[in-house]
Amino acid sequence: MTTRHGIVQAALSLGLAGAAWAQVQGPIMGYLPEGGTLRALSGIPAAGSISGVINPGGAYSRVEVSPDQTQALAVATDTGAVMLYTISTGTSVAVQGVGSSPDRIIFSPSGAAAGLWFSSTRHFQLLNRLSAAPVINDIDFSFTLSDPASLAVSDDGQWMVGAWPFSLYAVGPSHSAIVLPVSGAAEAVSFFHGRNDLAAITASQVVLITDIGGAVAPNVIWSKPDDPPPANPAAAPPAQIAVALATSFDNRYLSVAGNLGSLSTFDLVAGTSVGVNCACAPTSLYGMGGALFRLMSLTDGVVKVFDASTNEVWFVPLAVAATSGGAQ
Amino acid sequence: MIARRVLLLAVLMLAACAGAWGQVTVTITGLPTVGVAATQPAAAVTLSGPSPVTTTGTLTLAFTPAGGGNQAFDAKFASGSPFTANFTIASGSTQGLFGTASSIPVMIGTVAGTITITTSIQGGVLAPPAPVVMTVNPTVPVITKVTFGTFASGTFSVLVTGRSTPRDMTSALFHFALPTNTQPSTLDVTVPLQTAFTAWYSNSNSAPFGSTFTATVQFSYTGPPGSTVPFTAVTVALTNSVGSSNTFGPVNP
Repeated sequence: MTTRHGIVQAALSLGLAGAAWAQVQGPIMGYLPEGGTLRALSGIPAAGSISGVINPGGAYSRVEVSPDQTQALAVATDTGAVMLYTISTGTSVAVQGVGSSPDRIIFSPSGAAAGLWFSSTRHFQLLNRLSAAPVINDIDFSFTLSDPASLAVSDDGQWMVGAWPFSLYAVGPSHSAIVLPVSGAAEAVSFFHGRNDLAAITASQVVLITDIGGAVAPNVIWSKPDDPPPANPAAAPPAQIAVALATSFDNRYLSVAGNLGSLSTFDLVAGTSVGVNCACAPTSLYGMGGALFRLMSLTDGVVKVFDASTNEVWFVPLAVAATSGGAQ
Repeated sequence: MIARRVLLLAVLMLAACAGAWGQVTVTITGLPTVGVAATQPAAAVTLSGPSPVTTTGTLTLAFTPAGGGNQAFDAKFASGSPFTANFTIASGSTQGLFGTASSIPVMIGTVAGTITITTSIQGGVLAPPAPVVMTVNPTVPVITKVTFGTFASGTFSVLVTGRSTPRDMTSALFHFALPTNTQPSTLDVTVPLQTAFTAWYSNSNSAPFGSTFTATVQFSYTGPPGSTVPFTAVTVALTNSVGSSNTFGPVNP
């Protein structure tokens, strides 16, 4: 499916000299975990399809794909070992020094770093980079006595943030927990790409917190109106319980997914917001590069993806087998 | 005498009802006559008045590529079965339901051609509407994404993703903005693409992708010692048999 065709030679003089050649192949939007396997999302968002199963070369109980769609973390079915799978090569290696069978796998916004949450011990392992031998910061959250509502990891792999009903904690290179200033319990948190700045949403506010390792400057960009809430979903993003918060790769768009399908997006450059309902139950905002997010797992033969830059939701159905023959 | 009058009244009522039923027309709404590639309009079954019966029906989608070839399943229903969608019409309702949904999305696809949706309705009380025909015209290419591959010593690549509904491509124009200390300050490079795209579109592996593509164009250069990125930004335009695309970018490496 990724067969390449044709080589074209062309002159190039860049004040310099050289040649150009071209290869053409089918575009891949990203990858869809399905149990312990993956499927490719082929094509472009509004005209895509879900391709056949890719076996990552082992028996895995779960697979999570990094937002840049180049690697995945998988949990071995038999040992619980965490494996790093490189999609382009089809190879996987064990990640050294991490615990087995994590309950949650969290990627940084760009996928450069990751974190693992272990519910039984309430430990978080921060992996400073996505490699077979990362530097691991093991953080004890046993004092919280509960699982966090949301976790986030910074792209430099130095910081993590966890949202509990009573506090929003950040842990950085000093290994000590900092309580971040938010009003109420954070429902979802996300770092910005390439920055140690954070976005968080509570039941009543969306707040940006810059420089969490330094000045820790909060900036509320949205507050719930007192009375009555406007009918326009763009004006009332936290009307539902937020299940995810995420930024586009260029940090321009900050999107919130609600448990009942609302998708609210803040254009942080233009200072505007828009809303749409996906007519689905988002499980997260799985980054797929640019401003594209996958909203859900494979359900009834389709997944839905959301383009935050255009505020559009698209169906991506299973590919039609050649033998199905479309009527012609 | 009374019996005759009752019979006459019954006949008149039946005729009146039949007349009313006959006036209930079914239409497929929500679909344009000219389909825009890479969109998903929603088709709905709409009645002009309350349905006199509870019944079921089926929409059947067929796609005929303008250029022939192996793109029979480029257009499809975006959920459920790709080529058929069953609906129900409840007595008294003015709308068909696809499961619980009031409409079903149609994936227009990315290949020029004709999409035809025919309707069948069970029972014979409601007459099915005429087929809905959507034309997907051949258009200039559309670029949806430009990214960069690996920058290595003396080489770099630009990845251009998009669609070309006629399933052909002639060339790409890359407009490079060069570093400020470079003369000239810009450079245009036209890369012929016809051979590469003809090979891709004629290969069966391209069928699942419609007309979508990612073209990887690799450049080599000789730059100043130590330089790794010989430009500061690039814009890209593609040309196919219909014409040239909008310029995409600038995109910074």
